[in-house]
Amino acid sequence: MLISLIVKCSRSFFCFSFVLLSASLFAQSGYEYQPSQQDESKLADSKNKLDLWQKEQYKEISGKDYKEFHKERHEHLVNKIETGYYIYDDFFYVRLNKILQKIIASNPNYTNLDNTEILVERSVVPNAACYGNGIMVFNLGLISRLQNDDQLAFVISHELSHQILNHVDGSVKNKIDYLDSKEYKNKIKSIKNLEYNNNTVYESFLLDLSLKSSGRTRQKEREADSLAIVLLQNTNYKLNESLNLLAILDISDEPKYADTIDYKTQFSADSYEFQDAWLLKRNGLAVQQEYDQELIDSLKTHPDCDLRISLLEKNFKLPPLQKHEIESVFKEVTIHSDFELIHSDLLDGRYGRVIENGFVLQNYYPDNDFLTAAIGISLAEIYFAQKNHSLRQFVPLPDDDYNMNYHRILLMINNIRLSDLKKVTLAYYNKNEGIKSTSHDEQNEHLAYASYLYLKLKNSELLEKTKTDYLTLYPQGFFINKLKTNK
Amino acid sequence: MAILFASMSGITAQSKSVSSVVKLNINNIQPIKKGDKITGYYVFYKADKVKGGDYSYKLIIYDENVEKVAKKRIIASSSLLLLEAQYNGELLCFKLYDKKEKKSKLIFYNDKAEKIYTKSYEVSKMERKMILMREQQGGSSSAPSLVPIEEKGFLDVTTVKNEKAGYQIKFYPNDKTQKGWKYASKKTSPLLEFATVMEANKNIIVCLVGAKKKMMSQNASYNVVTLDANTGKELYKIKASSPKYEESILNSYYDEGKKELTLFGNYFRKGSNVIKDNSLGIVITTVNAEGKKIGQKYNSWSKDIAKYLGPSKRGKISEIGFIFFHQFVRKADGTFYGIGESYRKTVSGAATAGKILALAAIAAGGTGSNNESSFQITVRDFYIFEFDQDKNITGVKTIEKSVSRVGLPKGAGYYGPQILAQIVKAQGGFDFSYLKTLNEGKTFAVFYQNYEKIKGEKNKSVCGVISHTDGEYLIDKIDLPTEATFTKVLPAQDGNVLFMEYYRKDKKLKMEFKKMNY
Repeated sequence: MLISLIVKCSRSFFCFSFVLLSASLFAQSGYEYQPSQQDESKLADSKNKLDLWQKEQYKEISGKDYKEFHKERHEHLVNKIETGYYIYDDFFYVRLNKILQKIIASNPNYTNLDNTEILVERSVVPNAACYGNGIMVFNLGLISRLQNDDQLAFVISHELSHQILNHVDGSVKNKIDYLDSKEYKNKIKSIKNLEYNNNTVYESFLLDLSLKSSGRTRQKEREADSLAIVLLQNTNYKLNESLNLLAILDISDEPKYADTIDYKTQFSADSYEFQDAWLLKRNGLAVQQEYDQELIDSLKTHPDCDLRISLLEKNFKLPPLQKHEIESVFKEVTIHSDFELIHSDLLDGRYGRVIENGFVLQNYYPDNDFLTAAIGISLAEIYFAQKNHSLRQFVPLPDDDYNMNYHRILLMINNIRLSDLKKVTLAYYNKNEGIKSTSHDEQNEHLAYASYLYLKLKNSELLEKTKTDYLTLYPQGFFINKLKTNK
Repeated sequence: MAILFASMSGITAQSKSVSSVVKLNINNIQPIKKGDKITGYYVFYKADKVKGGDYSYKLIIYDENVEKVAKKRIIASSSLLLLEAQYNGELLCFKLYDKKEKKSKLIFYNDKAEKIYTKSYEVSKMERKMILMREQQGGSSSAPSLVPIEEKGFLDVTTVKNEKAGYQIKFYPNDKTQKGWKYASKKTSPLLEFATVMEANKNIIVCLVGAKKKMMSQNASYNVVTLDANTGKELYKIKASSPKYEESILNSYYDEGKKELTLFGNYFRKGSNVIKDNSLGIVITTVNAEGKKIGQKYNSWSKDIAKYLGPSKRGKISEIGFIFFHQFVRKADGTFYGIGESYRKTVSGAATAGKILALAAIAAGGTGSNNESSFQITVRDFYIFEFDQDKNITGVKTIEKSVSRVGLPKGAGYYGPQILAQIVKAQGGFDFSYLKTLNEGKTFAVFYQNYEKIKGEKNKSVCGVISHTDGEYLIDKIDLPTEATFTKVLPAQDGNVLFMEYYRKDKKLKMEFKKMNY
């Protein structure tokens, strides 16, 4: 099945077609997904390197607030490393860091890059970030949308450019220095001493600061784009793929797959009547959100992608963009990202997203046990969360701003009564017998956990035994903590 | 793509945290309703002093997910109150009161949060008193004075100066080019008259109108008045009594298809005082489009209702005390339910002790003043009265809960049960919060807050819901957090509630939605 998404563009010579071919190759053959396995030694190395860098740099810096920033940043990253937010595996981590090292090796003029490292985050947001201390974070959500290593290389070069140009630390230092300055303190004092409109003037002053900051940030983004091309010129990565990458980012607010999920069909069963009212949106306050487009544009931290593309084309005389498909060597990367994102959402309790994306991917991989188990687990966990009044920790309220598939599953979760949710969940398990089975091997951890939850729903006598079996078979399992804390 | 390194303000799947909240009056955060549906929220606060001695106020409008949709600035004197906000499907209306100017103001916004028009008017002395009383109660336990009529306009119910005090119901249309209308009590009326709107839709408005000689009078007469929603003309008036009984009206339901009005109330012996005396039972009256009573069902406490109260209470209604009916509701299958909460007058131990001390003080030559009554009100359980489509009682469900006590002002111990109930309600002494219909009218849900005392455990506050679906009751409870400086539970969309916690020391306001099970 060929899925193409033609992007509307304002430039007559630039027409980008985002083509997802992977479905045509894999729809028939299926995809045997196994979650990325954490390489604990890589994780430990990463943490040690970070600790060392922090120790060395901390000695060099001065100022209470600046030291505090350094400390907070370090603790933030260490906490995320230790709680499994980053993937240290051969598939993603090794691939991205290999590209990073290649770029660094091709640009020996830029020194002091020994501590740089890319971490791959379990986030669906199509973004990447530079932390300023050599760490660059690349989200799975971005990887899943790319087409080749050249696009990866541009993003890596862009983030590396922020590091080389000291954008992050420099910006924070400037902000801290300004807040400590006489100019700022005098300004605050003068506002406080006003006879009228103190708060209004203060808000206006803060807005002005934000606008100036955003303007500087956008300038830094343009600099990073520019230096990225300079870095890539010394490699054999294709420069014009930077334009494709920016075009992909431009539409990244849209869901990756255009399929519509028919929840009524998915959840219909003989044991109960599916109620259309579950998918009904209640009319709330039909007041349009006030927004000032000019202000929103001025507060953006990144220039528009169109502008970024035209600047690169102009400044570097890049060859014209050419349509192409996802390269075959990269296909598995994007597919694996899609599955890994569902697994990440499952671990992080974003159960609504798991159901949404699970059903979408099932269109392409209909007999995939992992997807079936993930959906079953999510339904059961939502049931137990609602029973314990903790639903909102995992599933947000419906909102028109979400894409249609996600919005509709949220409507259903929000509207359905607890007793009906149990019926729907049990019916899903009955429809997919495989996730009820209590016999598993080491490769089927998700199925094992799904069957445990099924027994919990049924209040089965076998529950404790199943729990013990799971803990024995998967001593380092993904759901260990949940099993140990579950009542 | 440099990271924005600002610290996240603790946003999880559906909770919001606002930092640096130096001072907060939690009553300034209220829901915006459309009937019994929650469509949004507003926050109203004084922002700045402006030139000329006035102040600027901020009105922030949020949608049902507490996402900000609009921010408005209002300039007024130093003592502006926002009383109510309603939404009628097209316009938002905010009712404000300026204490210094002694004027009320209605501001109407459209769906783009643009101001459409405003109306200001001077407020009578009696109305000023009512507004201030409402402010002290936190606004929640009084009947709304601003009533939306779906996609048509709003009704503003006020107290006006007549010979004594009277009432006025004014209609403001959504379309400002159209003319509104006014319905009011007679200026020459020798009685003190007051009105409450019980129902309002595009065609008909149902009001309960009461009249008495004086403010503190314990004798009043009641009528139900229906008005044409298009013209404000009176359609018919029904006296709350019959040849056999005196009656009080508590609630109504209007069937738009049949154009029939159903009235719920209590009935009393002929000649009784409906405010002071004990009722004989529940009366349900059906009125046709012409205003003629076409059916009346009397369900007596002693005979018809007692048999559903269980063997321990059979024939012993006196053990329950009185029932205060918060609301009646009709389900999609045509059955009716009356939500009541029991209360009884008991001797107040603390007040009595205080009196004894006061007497001792007098004996010793002191003043020994004591402003409390010797009596208190003990609020007990919920009782849900079930009626079939023909308005016959078919059952009573008792939902037990912890007892709570409400002190009475001096002299109030001798008031009749109806007035006592109003005192308890005004003090927020009942546990009932609000009622909703859900699940396309197949479910009703009663939301309440209560303080639970459990043997061997720490006492705790809970937010509970009693729901009824397909003939079955379900009770669900959530513990209310107690670490916060203060907490408030606001109604939210569908089966959700919005918990608000303010931590004064941390200057943090936390808001979280929780879905109740029903």
